[in-house]
Amino acid sequence: MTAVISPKKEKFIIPIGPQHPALKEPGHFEFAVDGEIVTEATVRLGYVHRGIEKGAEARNWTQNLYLVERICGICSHIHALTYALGVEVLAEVEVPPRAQAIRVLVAELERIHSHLLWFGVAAHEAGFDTLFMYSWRDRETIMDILEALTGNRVNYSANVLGGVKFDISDEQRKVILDGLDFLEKRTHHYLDVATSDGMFLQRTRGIGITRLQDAQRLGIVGPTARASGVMRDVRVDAPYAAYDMFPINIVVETAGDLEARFVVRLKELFESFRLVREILDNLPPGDLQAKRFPRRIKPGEVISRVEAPRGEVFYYIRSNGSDMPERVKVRTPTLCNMASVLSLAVGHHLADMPMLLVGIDPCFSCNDRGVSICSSQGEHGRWTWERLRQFGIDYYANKV
Amino acid sequence: MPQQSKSTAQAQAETALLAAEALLQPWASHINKPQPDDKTLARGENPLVFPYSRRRIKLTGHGRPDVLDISLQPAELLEVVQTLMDANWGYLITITGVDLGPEAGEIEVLYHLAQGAAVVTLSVKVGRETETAVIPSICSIIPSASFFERELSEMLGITVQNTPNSDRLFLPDDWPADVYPLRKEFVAGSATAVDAQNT
Repeated sequence: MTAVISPKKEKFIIPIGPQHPALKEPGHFEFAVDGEIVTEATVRLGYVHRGIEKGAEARNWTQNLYLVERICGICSHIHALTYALGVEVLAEVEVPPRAQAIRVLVAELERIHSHLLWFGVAAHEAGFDTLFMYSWRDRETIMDILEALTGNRVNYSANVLGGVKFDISDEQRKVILDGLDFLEKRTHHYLDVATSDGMFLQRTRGIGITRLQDAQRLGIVGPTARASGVMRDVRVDAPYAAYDMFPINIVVETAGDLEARFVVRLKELFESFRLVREILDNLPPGDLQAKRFPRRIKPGEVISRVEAPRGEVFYYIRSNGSDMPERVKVRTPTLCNMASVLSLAVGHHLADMPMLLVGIDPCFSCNDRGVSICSSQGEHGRWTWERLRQFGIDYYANKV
Repeated sequence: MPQQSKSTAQAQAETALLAAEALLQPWASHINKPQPDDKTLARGENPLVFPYSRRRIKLTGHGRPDVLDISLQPAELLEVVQTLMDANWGYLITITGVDLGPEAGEIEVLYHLAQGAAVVTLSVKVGRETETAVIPSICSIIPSASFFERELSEMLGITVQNTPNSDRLFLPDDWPADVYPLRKEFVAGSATAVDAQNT
């Protein structure tokens, strides 16, 4: 027997995913390696593609508000907000300032929960599970606040077309402020850990450097871009909802490495704490909802842009004069940032791949916009919308 | 960090739009500007205010006050994108494809570019037939457009010429070859999976 030595030209490809231990969401990557060093990277998405853009064309304006909220399980409010802001412009409905302020309040609470979630996941990828557990424990504070405010941990459903559903009581105000005091203390600790822990810095400092020109060339958005010195934040560039009343200070770092991405997100938390307190202290008086909202919307098109925790969310909505949209296009930040992972991967160690990937805080559901259901009875497969709806109705009917 | 007030952000958007308009002068006849309504003009307000502020103006017709739309022929697209990128104007947000339906016989492709609050949308219309649904790739100028072009071609069946990667991005491997989910005639749930090896 003679051993066959593969010629040098052949590539050794390591497939990772769609299901893999590094990340809890499905994405398939193929890394060509030379020893430990990655020489090529490709990605295949769509494992959670649900056809939401197509689905939106067959639902009315109000139903779509709930549909788009389910694009993402982390930044659900942001999607409903972007959609509502766009549809309100199309329908020429003015939203009361109090409602806009409450929308921003929920958006910033959501950013806190999202950044803490990401911080834990990133710590986990770096092999620092203690930090992961602490940050997720602390994140429960914000989840409890969101539940106390809206009744839900994930799909808060705070928006209606033309306003918001709830007001903030004095009790809730106190719960929020107490929670923020605790989280602010913890965030100082986390910032200290992320910038001083020797083991942790070995995984982040100088790794995955994206320079300013590259960040611009690759069209990177959100905290990932701001960690490379790109001065871009929709809250500052084009203030929407109540960000003109409550301006935000942009957080920018210039190093462009993974450490800078940690620092940007953690410092953004302090901005969010400050803004939430400011809103609670200066909540404008007035109604929570516009007087009326038309069922049909006259023909037109609108662009709606919002800064989600991961970067800019873009909606293009076109109306044809009926009660349903002609087209709803959604562009989420992860799609823009994914290209940066692929180009960064080349030249790095295979072991750095999970860290590089979480560095952009990827959200595959947003990316793919695709629903698969595993029922508790162990039945897998596709359900029709009607069946899912009926299941929901029966479930709650039996529960009471 | 200096705090940016609403008025500076607004002024920047205005400057950015004027700059874009100057750059796009050769194609000026294709520009569709949104027209503010009489009430806004009567109040003497700047039509370039942000749409979501409390004193948002109302628009007649379509569009938003901080946007500039321009309709182009597919052949003009690259030149316009190159002009904007040479001047370092903005970044590509995304590419939207809108099927105008079998009656109109066209698909509208929209390239959204933004600088601050200002958004320039380049609109290109192509046919719906295999031979006419063709658009040039802008990846040679903006490499990050690759994902958007892949999505456009798999969802609407548009051939993007010279795109570096025309593989599927979102649709499954066993999705039938000539079924495009964002075409108006496509009914959700009607496509049946085929053997991946036959496609």
